[in-house]
Amino acid sequence: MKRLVTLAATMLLAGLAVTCGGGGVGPSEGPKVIVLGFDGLDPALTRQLIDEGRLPNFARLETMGGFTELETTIPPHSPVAWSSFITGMDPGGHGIFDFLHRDPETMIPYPSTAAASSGGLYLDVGPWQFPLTGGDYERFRHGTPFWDVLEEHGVRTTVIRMPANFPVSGTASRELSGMGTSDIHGTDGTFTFYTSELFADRDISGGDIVELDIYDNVVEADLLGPDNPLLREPEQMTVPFTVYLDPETESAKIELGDQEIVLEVGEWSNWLEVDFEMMPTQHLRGICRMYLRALEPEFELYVSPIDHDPISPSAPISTPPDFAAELAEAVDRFYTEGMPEDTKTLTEGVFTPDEFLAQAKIAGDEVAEQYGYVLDRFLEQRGGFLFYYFGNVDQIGHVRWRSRDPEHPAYDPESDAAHADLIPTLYEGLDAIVGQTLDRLEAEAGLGDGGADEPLLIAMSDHGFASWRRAFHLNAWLLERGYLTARSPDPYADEGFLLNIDWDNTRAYGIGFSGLYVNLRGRERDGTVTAAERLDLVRELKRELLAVVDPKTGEPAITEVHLREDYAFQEGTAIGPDLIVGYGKGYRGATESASGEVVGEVFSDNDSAWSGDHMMDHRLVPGVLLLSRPLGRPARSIVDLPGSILAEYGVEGFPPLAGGAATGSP
Amino acid sequence: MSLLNAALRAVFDVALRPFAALPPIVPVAVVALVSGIFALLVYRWTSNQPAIAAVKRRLFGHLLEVRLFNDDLRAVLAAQLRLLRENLTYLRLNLVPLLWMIVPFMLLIAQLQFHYGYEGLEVGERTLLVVDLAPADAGVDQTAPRPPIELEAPAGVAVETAGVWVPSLRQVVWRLRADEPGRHELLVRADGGAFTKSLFVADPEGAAQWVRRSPTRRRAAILDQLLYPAEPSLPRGGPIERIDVQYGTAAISFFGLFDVHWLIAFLILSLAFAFALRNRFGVTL
Repeated sequence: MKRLVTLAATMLLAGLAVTCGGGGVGPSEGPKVIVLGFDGLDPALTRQLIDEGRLPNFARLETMGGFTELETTIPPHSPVAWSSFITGMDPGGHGIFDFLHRDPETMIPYPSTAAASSGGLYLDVGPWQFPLTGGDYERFRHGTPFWDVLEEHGVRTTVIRMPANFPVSGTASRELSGMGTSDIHGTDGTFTFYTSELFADRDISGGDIVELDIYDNVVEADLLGPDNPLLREPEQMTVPFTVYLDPETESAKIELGDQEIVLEVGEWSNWLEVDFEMMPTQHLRGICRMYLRALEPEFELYVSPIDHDPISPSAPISTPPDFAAELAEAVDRFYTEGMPEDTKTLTEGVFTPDEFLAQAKIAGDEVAEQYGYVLDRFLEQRGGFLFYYFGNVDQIGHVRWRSRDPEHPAYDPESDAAHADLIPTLYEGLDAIVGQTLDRLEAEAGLGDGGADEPLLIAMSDHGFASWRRAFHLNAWLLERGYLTARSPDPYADEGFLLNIDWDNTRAYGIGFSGLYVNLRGRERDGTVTAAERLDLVRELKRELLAVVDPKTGEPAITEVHLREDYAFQEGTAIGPDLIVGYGKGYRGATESASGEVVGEVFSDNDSAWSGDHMMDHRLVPGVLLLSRPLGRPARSIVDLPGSILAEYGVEGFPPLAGGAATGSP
Repeated sequence: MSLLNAALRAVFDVALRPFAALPPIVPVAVVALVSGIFALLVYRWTSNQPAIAAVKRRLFGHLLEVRLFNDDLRAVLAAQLRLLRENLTYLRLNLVPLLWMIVPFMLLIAQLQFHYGYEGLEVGERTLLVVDLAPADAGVDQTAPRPPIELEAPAGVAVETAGVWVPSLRQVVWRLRADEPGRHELLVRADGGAFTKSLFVADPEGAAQWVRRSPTRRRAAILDQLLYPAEPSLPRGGPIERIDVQYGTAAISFFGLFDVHWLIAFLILSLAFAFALRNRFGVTL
């Protein structure tokens, strides 16, 4: 009995200790360094708002350690620039040149940073197929992430939402994937819009519109999942849901599985769990939010892209694997897709600007709220490195920049004037984040003490922003100049994805927002240009592109053309374009050309909601670098910055040369 | 039944109150210890102990038979048949104490479920109040007009939406937001009657986290009274069939090792205590 009582007491005490106590955080070497990554923060606008006194904490940082422009990459696209920040190499080294690359053997475009790879071997049993080798996601970025080197030198790193880091590297102490993370469909985010409007059924860019019927104020519909990977014959998985409409109160009750919610018109739901059954013992779990847009005259319900459930993700989104669940349990479930602001709802006319901004605010608030938790945990530990990414300004900037540009072709005095101060207000939100961080570092980590291991706060951006007024259709220009031949001149027959190109009579083609490729014999499937002819063609194209003038404005449309041979690093250039096109002020590559369409006008007004951009001449859109103290090893460009961060810990020689390793000790 | 439930609610509220601020595994372990002892006493008093001891000896003997005569297939098969027969006898002998224990344990589990089976709402959290009306005499009418039904919420609970009327389910649903911690009484007025429903909002700063919370209040059917004793039953013949509030399912920490439903922890611990104490209480199990 005595032994039993002792055992019970021991169990109780152990349980209480674990139940009441917090998880410990191990030691870390070197100073505390925090990098706040503000995607798309523009130096000119930041300067203006600091001078107007609207960014007091940015001004504090400038006083403490300085404010400079940070040279971005060629081309200045987010996945490219962040890959350079991760690896300390230009695109020639890390091999990410655009949002889209193409496979020269098949001429099929694919996302540049990562893609799902199917399992190789299956065991077929009746209608089922069981993977014997696991399907997985493949990350295409080359090079060593700088946090690998920090971890090797005993520095505990936390890397949250780093773009182009999906699947997660697995080498940071804590990691959450960012831009490039897919939804449960494997896309950048595919929403569904359910409506009772007749003949509305169609697929649009970034979403599906589903027409449905209402019987006695009851709607029965299905959430659309991916194909069941365990079935030999592809079959889309679905989860039914029911909406009970109450037009009198303009509200509805929605049943999804065992979840019930009530929404009034104009309201957003919290996260709802979605459980796709692959087979009785195997499930694919996701989450979504719903927005009840209208009951009358037509029923309209928006369902967000179905994301991986951070509580039990079916993709490698965090390190350790349960870190995503830890974040979800500490704060709430959250968007796990890389770019959660659903800009397609606005560009495709599904949402009004205010509805889109409400959705973007939900996404931005999640990120800001999680930052509080991550910062708490980071400050508990000794030393260490923290990177935390904020993408709200970039994504909202893309679709609302015209509110700052009355000369934009799509400027609408009514709706845009009302949002003229929107982007500065978003900058103020980032300023508050900086203020929160500075205050915590001063109070808890000795910022400003001048001690040996004084912490360092870096606020930086990958690129700036500019108005995008005119679109340049690169493939149409190549067609016009005889470098490219279309199979059909009918624009309605052009499905994009390079399908309308007559390869036997094509010498050059474009895919992605800046990429121009030579149809090279021996590399491209149907190459026509020999290796000996290539360099002459490249130089000819560069010369002609730099001479392109917009007939409407008389301004040069292209001010920079970069050859792949010009990159300092060459290890990753094999997959890259032969030329990178840098557009002039107010210009950008047309979306049609980026997706591989061929036929169309060379120049056109940009009448899209997507009115701000940075995919142009990299000199026009530098990023921002703000420091709480000067760097020991100054950084002029985003490529230099990881080396400078490592130097703060006494680690030199990053990026390591082939066969070499970074040296030093904290 | 209503009186019994009221008495049990009072007893368990008082008995578990001292543990309300402690991790729930503590009261669950204490109740499991008491339950294990209670089960041993009931077992000793109601079971045929000499017969159980005898059947266990025979079971052991037949096991030895299997081991000793493993080269004789007929002997092994015969021993296994006898093992099966003795097992059935053992189960029959356990049936009587099981019948004695089933009612008190059911009452106990029903009460504990409403203390440890549900998460309390947190301040700011939303839930639905679902009122199921009694079936109409004419059956389901998809176009039935909205019935005159109103909800009054006390201070500390915000009613965020108008009541959604679902004719096909004869249901009215409101969305509520918990603004202040405590036990709140919601008032539903329907067909001239007034019916209350409790709503528990946990206080993150308060001591008493683990107190009774009731997800459902139902009409006075016998089975419902047995399974849902946390609130008085709704009157038979009244306009309302049931009133539900959504609470999340709770999982308690099993001494910090893993999270588990309280009932699993209770069963493991009460069995462990019963086995550990059986000799001290002179019980043959």
